[in-house]
Amino acid sequence: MEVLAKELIIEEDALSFANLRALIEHETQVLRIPGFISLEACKNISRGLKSTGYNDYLNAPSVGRIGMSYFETGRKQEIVEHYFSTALENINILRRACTPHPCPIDTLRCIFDEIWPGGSGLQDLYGKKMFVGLSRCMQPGVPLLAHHDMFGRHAPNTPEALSLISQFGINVYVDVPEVGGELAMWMNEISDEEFLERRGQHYGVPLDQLDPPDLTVKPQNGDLILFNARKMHAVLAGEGRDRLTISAFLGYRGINERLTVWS
Amino acid sequence: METVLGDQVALAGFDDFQTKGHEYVLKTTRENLSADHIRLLAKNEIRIIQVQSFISKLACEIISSGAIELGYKPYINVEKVRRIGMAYYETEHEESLIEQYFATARKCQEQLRAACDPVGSPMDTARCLLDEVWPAGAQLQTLFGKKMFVGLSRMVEPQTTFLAHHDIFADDAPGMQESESVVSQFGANVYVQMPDTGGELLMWHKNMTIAEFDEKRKGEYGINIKDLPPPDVVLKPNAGDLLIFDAHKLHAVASPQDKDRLALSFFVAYRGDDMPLTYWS
Repeated sequence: MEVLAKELIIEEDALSFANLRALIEHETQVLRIPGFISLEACKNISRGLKSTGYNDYLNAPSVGRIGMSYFETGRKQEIVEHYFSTALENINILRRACTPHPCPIDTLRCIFDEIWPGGSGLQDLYGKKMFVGLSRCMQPGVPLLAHHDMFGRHAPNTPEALSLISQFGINVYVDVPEVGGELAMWMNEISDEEFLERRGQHYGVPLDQLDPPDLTVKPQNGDLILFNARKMHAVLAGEGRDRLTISAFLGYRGINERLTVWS
Repeated sequence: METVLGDQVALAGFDDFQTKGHEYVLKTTRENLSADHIRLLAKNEIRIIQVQSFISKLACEIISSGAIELGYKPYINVEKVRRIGMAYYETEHEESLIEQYFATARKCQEQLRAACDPVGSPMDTARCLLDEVWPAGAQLQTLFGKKMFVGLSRMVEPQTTFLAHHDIFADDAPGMQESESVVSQFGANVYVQMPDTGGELLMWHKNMTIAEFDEKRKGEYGINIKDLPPPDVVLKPNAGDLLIFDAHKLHAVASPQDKDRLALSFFVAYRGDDMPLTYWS
């Protein structure tokens, strides 16, 4: 394993049990697999995503997405219902947008199932299948505010959230600007209460209210990056072009338990 | 002279299967495949789920040439059938072969993915779809604490067949909780190249005991189609289709006449409505 930046970032040719475990056991904070998809695939998928069309998040304006994030439900019943009723259809929309290439999240789901002792599967909640494979479009000049991801906040008191030991973010980079668009992370973890207080009315904490990040990673087209989503993280503003990614969460509950994915 | 001619006529007759039994075939699409379809199959109410145009014609062409380039090799225990990857059936309880099977499982999966590039392995899509539609999800089968292989590619050459056989995991892995717990076993095939004539999937309704099967197969891996009554279900898949069928029932493949029949295949185990589906090859 090639270890960079004080072992906070690992770069590898392919996902393996060893490097995934290193991430899961917090031996590293970021696992990067360059060239997870080809540049040709990036080009075609980018075109497919754009022609499918991005809409803004319900609760994070100026961030475009295809599919729906469970975060958007804000625990409102009618939005939760909408999320579940469109979940499988949205997975298929993503699949079609990636044609003729496979949806990279499909490949990843299968690889997780092959390398992880407890296997892997789509997360369910309230007896229903969740959506996975959210595609996000960040416009130039717009950062993704600093936040941490806590399944438990959005699905409180559910066995699915309570059993979670840790939560990782997954991004496949389909079209990234040459300048900007870095993933930024802060090493100290804050409680969700503190986070909610600090973010105020925003969906996250503006970057100018934080110390400089402890690490930044500049993704390249085709990269797969997995990172500890319980750490505060943000996306720095890109320059010149939209930044397109396909993303998911990975839930860990023990080595012999199924890894789960959702968006 | 007469005998030779007679044989030819008989052979032609056997190769010329009319489609039949389609009340046992449930036709659907990739977007509409549902848990209900799988339950119907498990309850023996249908024999085959036909997911039409599961992959595109372009994908069929790319995968066929990728697979051919990777190279088909004969089964260890059935010389006449060629495949890429290794079927657990080939291990025949032999320790060294079982070790070989597990040692090559992951590499074979990666090779198949690479051979399907840039369109992707339809095995991956099928695995994800099953995980999405089945309430308890779907996962790769493990055995002896190890991950099994999934995604065998098989070739049926012109003028050859797959003899009639049934697939029973517990025969291949006896005395194991993983195999003994299987209630229904489905075969799942994605067809990437189909002959113009022949290549039908043939199925029989009647269950056959292992003793009867062993007697009728006369030392071969399966029973000659001529030694059986006409099949009850005959379905010719199109290139690009995914068929999921009841593999506990006797089934066979009619001889392709003009070109190789290429398919990617795996098994799916059903253990109850609340249990995860599992898959392997």
